[in-house]
This record gives sequence, structure tokens and C-alpha cells, in this order.
Amino acid sequence: MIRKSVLIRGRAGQGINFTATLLGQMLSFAGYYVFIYRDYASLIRGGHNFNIVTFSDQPLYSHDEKFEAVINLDRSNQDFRKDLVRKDLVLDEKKVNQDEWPKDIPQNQYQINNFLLGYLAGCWGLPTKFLTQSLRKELKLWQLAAAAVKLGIRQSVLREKLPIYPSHERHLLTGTNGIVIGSIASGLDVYLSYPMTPATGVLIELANQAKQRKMLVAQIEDEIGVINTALGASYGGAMTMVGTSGGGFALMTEAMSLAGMAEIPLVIYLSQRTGPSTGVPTYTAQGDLNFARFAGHGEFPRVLVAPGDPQEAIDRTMEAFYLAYRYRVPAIVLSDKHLGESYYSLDQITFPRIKPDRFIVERPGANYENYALTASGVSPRAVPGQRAWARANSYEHGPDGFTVEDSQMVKKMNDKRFRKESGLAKKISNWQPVRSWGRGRNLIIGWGSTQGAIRDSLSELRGWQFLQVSYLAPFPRVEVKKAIDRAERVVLVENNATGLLGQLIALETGCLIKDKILKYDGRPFTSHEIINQIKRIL
Amino acid sequence: MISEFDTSQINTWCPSCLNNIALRSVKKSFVALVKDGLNKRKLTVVADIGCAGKFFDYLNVNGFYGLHGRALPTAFGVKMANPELKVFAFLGDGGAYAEGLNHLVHLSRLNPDLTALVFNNRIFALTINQVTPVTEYGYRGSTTPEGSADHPYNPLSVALSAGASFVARVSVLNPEMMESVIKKASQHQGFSLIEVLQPCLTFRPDDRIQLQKQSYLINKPASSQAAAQKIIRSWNYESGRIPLGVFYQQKRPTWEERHQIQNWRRLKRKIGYQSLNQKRS
Repeated sequence: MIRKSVLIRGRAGQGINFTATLLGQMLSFAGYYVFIYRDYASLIRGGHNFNIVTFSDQPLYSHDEKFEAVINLDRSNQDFRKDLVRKDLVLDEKKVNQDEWPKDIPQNQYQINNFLLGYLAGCWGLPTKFLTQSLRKELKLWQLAAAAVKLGIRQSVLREKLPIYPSHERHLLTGTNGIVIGSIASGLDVYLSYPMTPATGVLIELANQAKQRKMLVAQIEDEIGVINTALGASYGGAMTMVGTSGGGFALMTEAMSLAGMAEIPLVIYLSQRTGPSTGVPTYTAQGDLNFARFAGHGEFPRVLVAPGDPQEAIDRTMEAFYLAYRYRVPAIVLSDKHLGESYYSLDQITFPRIKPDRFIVERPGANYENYALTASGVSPRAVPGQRAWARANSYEHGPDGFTVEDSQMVKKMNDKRFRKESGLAKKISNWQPVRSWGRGRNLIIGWGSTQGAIRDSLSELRGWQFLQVSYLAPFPRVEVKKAIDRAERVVLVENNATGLLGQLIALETGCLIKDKILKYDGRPFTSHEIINQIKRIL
Repeated sequence: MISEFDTSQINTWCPSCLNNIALRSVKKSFVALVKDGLNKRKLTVVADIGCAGKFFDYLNVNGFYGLHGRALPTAFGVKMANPELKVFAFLGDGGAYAEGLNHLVHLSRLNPDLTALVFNNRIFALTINQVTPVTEYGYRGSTTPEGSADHPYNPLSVALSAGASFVARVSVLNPEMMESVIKKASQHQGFSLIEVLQPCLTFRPDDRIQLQKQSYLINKPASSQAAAQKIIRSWNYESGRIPLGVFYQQKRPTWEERHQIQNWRRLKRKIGYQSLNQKRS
């Protein structure tokens, strides 16, 4: 089995992330599975950023922290852990042979990056065409870069010839790409947001596709404005999504409760970063699980779903849209920096069989009521402009939408809203609310972006199974309890300080999980860390 | 009973509240709009929380009774979803000038085609008599037993500075004028702000006399923003004469025009699944 990692390090602004993407793309074209981890600070120029490109001829879902090669763009070498480099393949601008650099290629940072990429490809005997292919995919003006790449390949010395599998070309996707694809496939009309790392990626990508795909993508003055405007738009008939991170979501919580009360569909993309407060803005964490699960005053049903890879990001976003609009509830898609900004390999992109639908009644009758008391708790949805009065209310209300305070109606409306939970639970039971990987009597439980590192650790953990809890609300009690009851040992793996999923499991099932592997330094797990810690627990 | 816009909700304003006069004017304005050809099903009101929000329950039209301070972004969202709707937002001085001031500034700047009616009684009334940012120095409210130690700011001046394209002030004591200004505002394409001076007879009965004595009419909008500012700043919400009328009106492209907004519900989308993985350029 081949499994190698390349470290690309330098200062912000030198094109580290782009170079890593090109390398990952090239390896994908050569038929490898690729994972790219991105590590950067909250600054625009300077600092010490790096990407890790891990690749293998076998499926992989996470990065390693030992390197076969380094592309080093930063001469200062500050924070450079040379002990993590296995082989002496450190490429930097000293590899450039000045005499052979042609005059028509400017010797700027970007061309040096391309040169070093070519040089690395040459060391591994990889043909030029894969790099050219990736340049054509990522760049409009790719010819100059291709010349620099060829120069690098020409000046390199073959170290080890890597096999190529060109018929196995794969997709290279980030979680952010997945959310974007899923929302467009759901028929997104309006996306509103206020820039906040690590949710901004979705805003940028959607903004760039807005014109072509006839969507409205807009920045609003603050997150309170974002969600209240979004609720107005959804009430008005648009398929609407908002995106933010923890701090922005904190500002949205009053309106989250409004969505619950007024039964206005809304999809909320919540991308976690290291908290509390401003925290470590460009790093990852799973610290907002309970916040998302319980956000908002009062009690109301909601959907909370956490994808673990880009394909799941597509699937879960489409499910969130369906559930939000079908059941008229707020639905949160909970992601984080690690899933959002890491690249994963996908053999193919698939779409769940969910038809985009606004769930608006075609012809509301003369007696239409926006909050009609139904057996399912779901009232047909009309919008202003139709032949009915569409009345949404943040106060408790009667079926017609007018304000009430009478005790019987207050109880009736609460019951009506919570009746939706059983329909929701039934619907998600067909959509794999938990996923299970590997086999064994022992159980690892996790959620969200730890999926990749945990799956990669299973090959070295005999007798261990991984249960990924994807739906956090409604909570798949039966499935989770059954898996825990059957297991001999149960270990919780989470990217937070207190084991939030463990707390939620205790609340929902009564099962207490004592063994926890928790990481809360802003960095994601690697599979080696999980393997070592599990072995330590045993 | 004056119109099809009546509802059977029990009126919970104080007996003899001047909002009842305003409600009558609003209904008459709606009747006039429909008479002029507006499809009544396009009428949509977005309400803040407070005494001014209660219009929601007394108007038989489409409506969204939202959060305190957030009627403006919600109304903006409704226009974003369907620009064919005729949207009116009902706010008080608490929601518009305190909790939601930022939205007033930004909608003034963005110019969506909707009308905001700010019912200014210079107190938080529904929470029983506390000062707002437009209450005068020295006012004794339930939370300012020694009298307010702060001076008001001028929200109309702020809105005008931020780019509001229609700024007016009316008095509930002059319903004909209120109706005519609502009509002008709804004909205006862009963000129209109408401050409705509405003395609270329960907590501030003297305001009625002051408004009667001190107010005067401006006949036509000022010719420039600077001239409008001068008129608007002539009353600082504390003392002096109170100008009423349309202070400023300017034609400029609305947000919906600039963003080419459509009624999304009518859009039949074709999702090109194959094209979804294409790289952005």
C-alpha cells in the first residue's frame, strides 16, 4: 500500500493553499485518493501557514503528520518541525537552476511554486500531463504555469517511481463544496450571510455562481439582520438558507425561536470553529453541538444534522431543505472548519432521491388557515400574493394566525408544533440517522468531521466498530442505545473539551459513556492519535 | 366597521388610544390603494413588537408579526422573495430607533421598495412607561424616577444621512394628511420612512396639546438633501416647533431593481446535476 504525505509550508499570501490544491488535483488525476488539510492563522499576509497533502492508492479520509516530502516556501524555517520529515526531500527555491530558467517565464513566487510542483512530480516519476490537467482545471491562464512545471520536471532527479492509475480519476471536494452543491440541488433561491470564518467559503462560492444559476446571494448588515431578512424571504416564498459560525449563530438565536414559533422553514449552515468567544478563528472544533441543539428560547421542534464528509454534506443539506420546508421547521446543518476546508476524494458524486419542493399549496381555499390544526401538526403553507391571507406570528396564535393568549389554544398550538416531531423522526429513520463503519464488539462513537480520522484508524483497530451519529435532532435514540447496549467497550471521540455528544446521549438514552478521547487544541484528529489513545485506554 | 380590512380581533389598545385614528387612516389608505388598482392580496404588513405592532391583529391582510426591533429586515426579506408585494412595516420608536436602529440605517442606504411607519410616542408604552432614545431630558418614566439624564438624537436626520429616499413626518391628529402622505409613500419607488407622531394619552397626555400647538405644515419636499436636513434638525425632539410633511423625496433605483429580484415562487428551476461539480473560474 502506498500512503504518503507532502507538507507545503510558507507565509500567507505565497499561494500555499493553491499549490496544495494543484498537487492534490494532480494526484487525483493520477488515480490516487487524496486528503488535504489546511492550517492557517487569522491573518492575510505573512505568518506561518501550511497544507498537508496525504495520498494513497487505497481510500483515505484524513491526513498524516509525517512527511515524505516538503515544499518549503518560507526561508525563515520558523516553527518548521524537521523531525516530522521522514526523507530528505525538502524542496525550496534553491532547487532553481538560475542558468536554465528561461527569460519568458517570470521568476515570481507563483512560478517558483509551479516549478517546485513539477520538481516533486519529477522526483516521483509522475508524467507532466496530470499537472497540466490540474492547471487547466484550476487556472484560466494556465500556459505559463505549465511551462514552469515542465521546467521543474526537467531539472528534477528521479527518486522513486510511483505507479499511476489514470483510469481511476476522482473528484476532489471540500465540505464547503458539498454544502454549495447540496443547496443548489435543493433549489436554493436566496442565500444570506455575514462573513465569518469558516462559513464564508459557502458565501463566496454561491456568490460566484449566483448569476449563472439565478440565485440571490447577499451580505446583510449583521447576523440578526441576516436571519430576520431570511425569515421574511422564506415567508415570502423563496427557498432560503443562511450561513454563519458560532458567534454569528449566537446573534441568530432569538430569530431561531421565531422560526420555530411562526413555523417558517429555514436552513441554517453552522460551521464551527474553536471557541468560546472569538476563540481561535481559523481552527476547528466541535464545541457548538449542544448550543445548536438547544439554541432559542421556549420549546419547539427542530432539525440538527451533522455531515462527516463532502458527500454527506450534499446529502444532509438536501435532507435539511426537504425537512425544513416539508415540516416548516428550522433545520441546522452543523459542520466545522476541518470538514469545510479540507479536500476529500470521491469516487463519484451522488444525489439523494429528494425532489426540490417549496411545499406551497397550489390553490389555498377561501377558508385557508396558516396554522390549521392537523393530525400531523404540519399545516399547509401559503405565501402572500396567493388567494388567501398568509399570516405568520411570533406571538402565540390561533389557526388563522391572529394573536391569542387563551390557555386552551396556547396548549393546542404547542401540541400541534410538537406533533411534527414524530413525522420528522419517521422520515429521518429512512435516511441513516446513524452510520456504522467496520465490525467489532467494541464501539467508537463520534459525529461530524471526526468521521475521516476515525474511519482511517479502523484498519489498525481490530474488533472496533465506529458509530457515526448524523442526526442530533430528532435524536435517533433507539439506534444509538441498541449499539451501546450491544458493545463490550464504548469510547467517545470528539473534537471538544467536555464530550458534548456524550452528554446528549446521556440525556436522550440514559447511557453514560465513561471513556472519552477528546481533543480541544483547535486541531483535528489524525488516525494515529486515535489508534494510540484507544490502545492506551485498553 | 369601515372596510374589508377589519378583523374581529379584540382591540387591546387603551380606550381612546390615538392609534385607533391611525388604524382608520391606514385602512382608508388600503382601500384607496385597492381602488387605484392594487390587488389586495399583495398587501403585506410586517409588524414590530409594542403598541405599534398591534396593527397586525387589526388589519385583515397578509402579515408577519416578527421580533422587536426586526420588522425592517423582515419586511426587506419579504420584498426580496417577491417584489410584487406591497409591503408596509409598523414599528414604534423603541423598535425603530433603539433596538433596530442599525436596520433603519441600512434600509435607508439600500432603498428597498417598502414603507416604514414609525409610531413615535416617545416612550416604551407597552412595557409601562420607560424612556426611548427620543424621550426628552428630564422625563420621569418608571425607570427614570429622577428624570432622564439623557438627550434624544434625531433619527430622521440619521436616516436621511444614510440615504433614505423618502422622509416624512405626520401627526395622528391630522388623519387626512396622514392618508395623503401614506399614499405618496406607497407611490414612491424606494424606501419611504414616515414618522407618525402619536401622543400616548395614558402616560404623556400633555404631548397632545404640545403637538397641536407646536406643529406646522411643510407644503412640499425640500429641493436638496441639505435643505431637508435643515428642516428636520429644526426640531430636536425636545423643544421648539415641530415640522410635519414630506421633507425629502428622491428618485433612485431600488434594491430590487439593482439586484434584479424576481418572484422566486414562479421560477421553475432546472437543476443541472451534471454541472454541479464544475470549478468556479
